[in-house]
Amino acid sequence: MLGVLRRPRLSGVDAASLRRPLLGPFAFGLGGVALIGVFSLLWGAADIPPMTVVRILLYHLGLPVEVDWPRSWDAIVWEVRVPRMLLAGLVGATLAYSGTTYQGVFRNPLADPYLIGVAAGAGLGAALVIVSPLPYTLGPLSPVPAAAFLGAMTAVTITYLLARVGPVVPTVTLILAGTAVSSVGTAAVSYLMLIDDNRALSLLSWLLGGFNTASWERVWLLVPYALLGGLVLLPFGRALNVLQLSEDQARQLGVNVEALKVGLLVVASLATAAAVAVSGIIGFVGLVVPHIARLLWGPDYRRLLPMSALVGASFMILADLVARSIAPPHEIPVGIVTAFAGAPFFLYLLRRQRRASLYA
Amino acid sequence: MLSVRDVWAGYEGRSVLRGVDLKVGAGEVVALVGPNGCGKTTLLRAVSGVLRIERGDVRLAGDELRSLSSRERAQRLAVVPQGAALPPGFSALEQVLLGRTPYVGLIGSEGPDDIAAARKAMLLTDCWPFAERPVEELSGGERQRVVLARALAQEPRILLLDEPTAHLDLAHQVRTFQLAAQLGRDLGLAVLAAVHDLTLASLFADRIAFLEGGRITLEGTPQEALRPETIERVYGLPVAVMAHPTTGRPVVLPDISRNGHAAGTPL
Amino acid sequence: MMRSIRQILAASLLGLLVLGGACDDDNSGDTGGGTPATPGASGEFPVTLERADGKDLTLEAAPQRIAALSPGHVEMLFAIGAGDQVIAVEQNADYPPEAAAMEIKLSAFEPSAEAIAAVDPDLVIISNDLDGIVAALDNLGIPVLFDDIDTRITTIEEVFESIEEMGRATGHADEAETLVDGLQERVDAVVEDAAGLDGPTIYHELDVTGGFFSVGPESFVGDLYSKLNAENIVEAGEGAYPSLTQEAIIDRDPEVILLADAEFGQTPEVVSARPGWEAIAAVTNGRVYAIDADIYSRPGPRIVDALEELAGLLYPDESSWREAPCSACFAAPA
Repeated sequence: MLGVLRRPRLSGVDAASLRRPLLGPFAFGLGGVALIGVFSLLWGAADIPPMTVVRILLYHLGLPVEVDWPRSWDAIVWEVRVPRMLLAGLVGATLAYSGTTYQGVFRNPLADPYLIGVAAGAGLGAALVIVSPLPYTLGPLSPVPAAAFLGAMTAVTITYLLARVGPVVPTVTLILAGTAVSSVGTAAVSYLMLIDDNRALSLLSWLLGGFNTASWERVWLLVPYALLGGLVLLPFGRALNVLQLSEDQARQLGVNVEALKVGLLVVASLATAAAVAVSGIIGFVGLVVPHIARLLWGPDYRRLLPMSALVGASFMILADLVARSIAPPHEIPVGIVTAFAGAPFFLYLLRRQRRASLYA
Repeated sequence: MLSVRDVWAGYEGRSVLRGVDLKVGAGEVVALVGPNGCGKTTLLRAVSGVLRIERGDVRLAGDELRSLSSRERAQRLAVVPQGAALPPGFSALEQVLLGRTPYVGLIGSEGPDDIAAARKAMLLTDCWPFAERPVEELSGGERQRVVLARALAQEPRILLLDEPTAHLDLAHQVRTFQLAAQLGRDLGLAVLAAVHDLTLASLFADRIAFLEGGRITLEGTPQEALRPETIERVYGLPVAVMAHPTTGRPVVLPDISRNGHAAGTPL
Repeated sequence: MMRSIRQILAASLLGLLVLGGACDDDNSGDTGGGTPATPGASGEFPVTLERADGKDLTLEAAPQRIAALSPGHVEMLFAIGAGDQVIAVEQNADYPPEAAAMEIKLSAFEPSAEAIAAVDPDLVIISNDLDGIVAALDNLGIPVLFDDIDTRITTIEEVFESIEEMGRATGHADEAETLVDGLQERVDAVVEDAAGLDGPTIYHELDVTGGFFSVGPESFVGDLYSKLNAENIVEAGEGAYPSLTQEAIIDRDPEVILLADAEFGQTPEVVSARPGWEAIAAVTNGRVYAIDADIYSRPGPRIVDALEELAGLLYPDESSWREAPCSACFAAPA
């Protein structure tokens, strides 16, 4: 089944054959995301016939379809399911490619996009707005995503400044500073929750994250960051490969390691901050999806970056589908699904592929 | 080709190098020797642009190191590091292609020229037969050749070797040095190799330079440089130096019979 | 400002998060406000009460220094005339004003045995055994009446039972009975009137920050709707406080929406403007109402006020209810 994904053999070595391995998995992944995306739109708490869902979609895409469905179905498909699926996909892709970037920059398989303070900072930013008397709305100009985004970027900046030793930012110092900043942020959130226990529910449900409050607005909020992050990071796959050598070796190969590290982290953090701002703190995806991609397609970051983005998108859309349809009309936090579904799948791959040597 | 003049460098205000002078010409192999901590690796890091030079002047093929961009520098100078760890999962060819980074740039991808250069480097180092195998399946000696090929793929004019054989067995140590020295001479590279083993240095180097207290204190052909009294002074160990039975080059043997009192430290 | 339901849901979500951090209660302290009080008129002591954890609590005399760690209990105590015996209240207890003005505040969400012991109570009334606080107080030898109104109660009648229990515990059994009789009469009147009416479908919103939290028929708030013959879009068996999918809300198309989170910005205008919600009948017909969450979700005597107000909101054409005390409706869309 996974034949297409296997390591390509280099028979006649030329440039074309070196690039070809990217195309197969990429087409496979892209097709997978599209399929899963459309598939996820067919299910939900409301019992709408799949054909009607398709016709509603076609209608909104401008095709001449006769409207013979209730208004509520239209709203459910076009205002709820579609933005929800898109948001889940975008967030999943963003967390996954950011996680891949972090793991590459830190050369640490345990790195995730929350490592240097994004989540704690976003949580604190959101918490401050939630406990403040500012009205929190789902509509445009909602202050929570904005505050979460600012909080995330502030935390990352503080981490960076703390970790700086002269002109360089040693990786270990960065991880330690990130841990410290995260601890302070988390403690502050806990404290806010205690002093305003009224808002503890709001805060906790926000922190746990999910896509139930998805809307087109949130999709449009995230799109520029998610796309920009992806498009900027994608060409750096080869540079991340070089970074997998020691930093000295990368420098001796003519790479400005400091600038590269900081640049990649800034872009990945920016995209992650935007994802967290619109969906809360969803764990696991940024950590494990890169590994799933690595186990399936090998350690080459030129393949890993696009593939983990695609796997992340598919995975998150599926997880959200489960979260919202496993016990209608209930919604379970998507983070629970990602952990429950992702961990066994990851372990299965780890054992089956015997690529554990990648981590030797 | 490589010229080092009065170079000072070190870590956090402590100068390890205190005015190093050294020249390595094209096609010449110079062994850099000296006791642990004398600054061999520091000198290689300074010359390869990884460590900032406090004072002095390094020229690569005539151009001041400082005036070169890191890419330009990496096109002229390559390093075979100490016990280079290769990230697992990449094939030997992919590893060697990483050596093309100074030409490809940060966000480019390899073209036919790069693949040709990698292929050539792998043929020279006899890595081509296992080009497609993942590095973690290779033996220690094969991996070392892959690292050498990666350095050659940079098409450098200067090749630095930082104790590249420390973790290899005798046969691989000898073969790696033999290969590096021979390739250096054939390709007209300036080769500067930090070496622990004086006998190994003697076998392959045209000249040997002693780095001691942050300076080059002695430099010359193996016959000139490897004198018992010099080695005894530098390393604090009495040695006997003999001629190699076939090549005539000096062979250094520790003289255990006199151990202790020459170093001045009672046992 | 207390929302016990919110606290319980929050506590359940807390387990899903990894949040370190120490708790810090700075409301320990000075027993400055120890009010001397006379025991109530009615009551027989010693009295033995059964606690929610199955243990018995025997009180030898009417307690004079009560620490009430739930806003619902605070309201009950004041309503039955035991307010003078209360020396400390939960920090969110804002009703009646005498309770709100009380100097010593304690936290029920992050309870501290030390802070409670410091006020030297002769009875602690507690509704939530968070952080093992009941056992901690037992160990300190402080009498604890653990009456889990926030988690157990699913009907108004159970609130009344709890009021009577408070009466026995404080020596105000007669006042409690009189109060409950009056309340029950009002409830019966509303229920009787609503019985023949065709009730609307409703959606009650608790919070939407991270999900659409609502109430089901098995919840105490849900009981209000059942009594009024209204049809909750959350059906029996779907949970007491479910987090609904937005899609289910639109699909089930409630005729009336009641917003217990209006004070956090979810006003009828804001809710009506949510994308996709224009398809909901309540929005189309302008029947989205903000309600005072304190009264609606707190198990206390004022729940009957809520019931009467709700009757007016659900059945606007039934004029007999228009006189009901509208304690909380601050906005209704045009």
